[in-house]
Amino acid sequence: MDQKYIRNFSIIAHIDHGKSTLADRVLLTSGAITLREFRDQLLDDMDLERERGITIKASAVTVEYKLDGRTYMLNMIDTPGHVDFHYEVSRALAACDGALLVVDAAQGVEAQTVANAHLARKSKLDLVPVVNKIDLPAARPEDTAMEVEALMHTPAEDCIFTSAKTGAGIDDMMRAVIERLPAPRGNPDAHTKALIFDSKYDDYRGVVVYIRVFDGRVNVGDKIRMMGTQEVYQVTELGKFMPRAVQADSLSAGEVGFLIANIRTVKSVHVGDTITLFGKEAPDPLPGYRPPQQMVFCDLYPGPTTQFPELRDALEKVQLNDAALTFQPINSDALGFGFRCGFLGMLHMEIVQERAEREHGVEVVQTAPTVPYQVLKKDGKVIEVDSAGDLPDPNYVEEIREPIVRVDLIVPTDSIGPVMQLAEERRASYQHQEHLSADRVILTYEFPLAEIIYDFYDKLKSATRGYGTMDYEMIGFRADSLVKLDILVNNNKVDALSVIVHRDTAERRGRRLIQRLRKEISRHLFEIPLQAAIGSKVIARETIKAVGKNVTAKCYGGDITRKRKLLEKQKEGKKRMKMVGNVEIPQKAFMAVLEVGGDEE
Amino acid sequence: MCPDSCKKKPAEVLPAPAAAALYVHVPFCRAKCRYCDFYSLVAEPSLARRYVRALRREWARHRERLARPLTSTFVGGGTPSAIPIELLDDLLALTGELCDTHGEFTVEINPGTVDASLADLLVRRGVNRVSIGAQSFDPGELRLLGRIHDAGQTGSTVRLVRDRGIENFGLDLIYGIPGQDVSSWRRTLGQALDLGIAHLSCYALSFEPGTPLEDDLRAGRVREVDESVQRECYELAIDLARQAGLEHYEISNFARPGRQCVHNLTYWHNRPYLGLGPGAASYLDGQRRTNVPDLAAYLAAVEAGLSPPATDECLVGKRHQAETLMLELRLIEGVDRRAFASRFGVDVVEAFSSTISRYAAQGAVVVTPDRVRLSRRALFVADTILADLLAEVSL
Repeated sequence: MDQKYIRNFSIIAHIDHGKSTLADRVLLTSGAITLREFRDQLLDDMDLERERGITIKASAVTVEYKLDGRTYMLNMIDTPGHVDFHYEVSRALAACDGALLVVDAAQGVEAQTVANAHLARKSKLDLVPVVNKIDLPAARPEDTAMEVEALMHTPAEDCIFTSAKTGAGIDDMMRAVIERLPAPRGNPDAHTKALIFDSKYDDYRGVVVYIRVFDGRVNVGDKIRMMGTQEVYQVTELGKFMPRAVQADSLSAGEVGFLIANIRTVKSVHVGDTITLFGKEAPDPLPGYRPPQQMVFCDLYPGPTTQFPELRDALEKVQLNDAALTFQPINSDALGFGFRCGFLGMLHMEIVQERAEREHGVEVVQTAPTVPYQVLKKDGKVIEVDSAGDLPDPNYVEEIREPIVRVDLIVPTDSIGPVMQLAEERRASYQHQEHLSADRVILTYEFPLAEIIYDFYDKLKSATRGYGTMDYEMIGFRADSLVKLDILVNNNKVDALSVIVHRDTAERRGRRLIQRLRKEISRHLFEIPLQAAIGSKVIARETIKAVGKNVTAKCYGGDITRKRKLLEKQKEGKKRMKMVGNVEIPQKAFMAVLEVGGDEE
Repeated sequence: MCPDSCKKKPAEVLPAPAAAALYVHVPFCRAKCRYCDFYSLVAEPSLARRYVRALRREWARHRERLARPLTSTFVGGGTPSAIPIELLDDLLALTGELCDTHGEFTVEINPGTVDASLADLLVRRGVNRVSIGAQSFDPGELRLLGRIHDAGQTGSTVRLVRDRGIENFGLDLIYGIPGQDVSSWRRTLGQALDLGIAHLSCYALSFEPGTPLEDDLRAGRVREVDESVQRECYELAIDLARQAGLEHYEISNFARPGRQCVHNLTYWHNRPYLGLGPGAASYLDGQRRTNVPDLAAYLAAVEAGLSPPATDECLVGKRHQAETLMLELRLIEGVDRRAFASRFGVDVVEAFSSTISRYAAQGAVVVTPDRVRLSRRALFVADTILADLLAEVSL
């Protein structure tokens, strides 16, 4: 098809602003799905992705749409809706020529709207702003359009007003996609270059790769090379999802579709990589590729130590469909054999743990997540450390650098005070602020990533009565005064509880941490001292008293079942325990490291 | 045999010896004590009559499952001595027909419910052991517990049975009563031991959910006695009982030589028994069965010729072993390793090595070539250890 009749676009929006319903409207209005299918979609099925209200994996759908007597091919590319998948979003956008920026008419512009607009601008995409949900009683379409104007410096009149639910404005939106978004301008005769923007594992066909062809073409039977990984495959199948899979003999410049080439694991397929033809390689790949970058690490241990092989199998299976997960075996003094795992972010971590448990039936004990640190040693070498336990002896350390992120916070004007205070507690440095409207403002900060990975979002929500939203982007590593805080339980250092903290807050965190541990670890037959220490200096201590009395006296007239159940109840909720020396430490204790907020007792 | 519900193949269920112990639950009291959550109702003669008749029918269904002669019969409650004397006569006649004179035949009695004619009845029906719910000798403590008797009535009850030749009698006492201190407990123990008792049970008060006393605790009207005081009370009971010639043989129980409670030893050795009456538990052919504690439902079913409603479970494999361990470790002598091995085909120390070795290292469990037992220091925290042993099974 002539490229001038193709549009490649994405719908970008803050969570819950109606992106998926709008996408379904596009399918309905172009006849790709029936009204009944559309209604079923509205009801939503409760799988892992839907439960969290996000789309974890991107995909692309092709529809045909008639306008003024001509048929257009519209390729709608989905983007993951969570900050953990920032890079994946940027690659999905790179596959587009334009985007619809959707804003909820009742909620207005939010942090992800800003981040998405920012990303889209970086990808040099043309944007059409869409103010959606105008049917809601609380809708403020004009105010929202003004916020969009403030954000994007485009006139408010350029906004399209829609309701994905009722169908209002959808035709205008389709016209705008065709008239205001550019057609692709690739060279069909140049060396083949196709961008990988997603991949999925299919039990029957292996890896299904989503591509956007920029130049040249790819045919079934072609030998292809991935320019980043240098791997070579032979194409067995090409096609488009409309939304059912429709096979094609070739995909040429400007087109979007899927490619199957007997690839066994998604690990071999890197989002952002460029596909070219083997033997007729393009001289340079498409720009913007980088290998997956893990920003959060934690250790996973099998609940019962005997389940180590099962845990490995589970992680391998999860990895089949999740190229961003990394893991390698480790051996902790305290916890035995397990895996150090790397994730794109906290959500990604939760998803992996949940999948390992839910889909593969292993019980997992997880240590507190940490960010990766760079350590400049006295000998001038820089090493990467993804666990506090791996930090070299302080005598060999010149400086420790931590990852820094740029964070956009969109908050109501009247909660600026509490939000600034929260930022200060988290060692953030203020950059600038920008008014979106009379009552909302964008605050931009640089935060150490470690300070926001765990409960920051919850704290932000409570500081803004639920209205605050955030988005972040990695900007680099920076040195700070960081130290390793060790925790001793019953006089044994527990490596899995060590944590890297800022020197100024170390004492408070140490105290808080062992107070939490005192609550999580149940009383034993002996007294258990708990200490927090930096090097050999103990900065806080607590004691868990020995059990004084724990005996049921009576036989209950021979009702042994009842007695046994009472005893079994004592261990309830204490599964996932790990023995460290003579002390049983429950899973929750390992996460206590993170809960630094809240008041001390 | 095993019910379908337990889904185990018959081969997995160990053959169990026939039960030679009988428990009869009498679900009536004169008044409900404020701490008690055993199943009982305030006695009403017409209900009591129907109950005894139903008991006879339930009994007829099960009597073939008992080995004879019985080693023990235990009539407990509730308060067996709280039902009209002619009904108690019927009940004891029923159970007594199986009891050979060498077997232990215990009836629980409560001070304030026993007179000369009742004591005569016990002797006439062959009862050779009584267990007396004294609980305390302090008037304030008895009031707080909601007991109907005073300290003097405990003494007269003892005299009534002893005068008729029942030398094998024991007292139940409670410590950890709100407001009680060590010296008050010392006085109670002293008075109990002065009565020349053959058996003594000392229980720490527990606040059972749903009892008036637990309400008081939650509302702040009473306070729990400090753990360290309770521990001191416990240690004192051990010391004074021993000085009085009573041997400590189970966590909460003491007896003169040869006067250990044979019936309770059946429970602690996890051997079979038959229980009759609403709320009574049985352990027959590897199956545990507890009648639903509801007199109306019990009467309705039995009078219609059916089994009383009950919950049941089957014990197999390591679970059965763990439960045996949970019970036998309550005995001061602990578990006989050889007996355990011949019963289950495994050495107990190997089967539960992780928990046993952990607590042995802490001095809480003592392992010898012949036995495994709790150390004296560990008795008062036994449940911590027993819970870990049970948890080994669920993993």
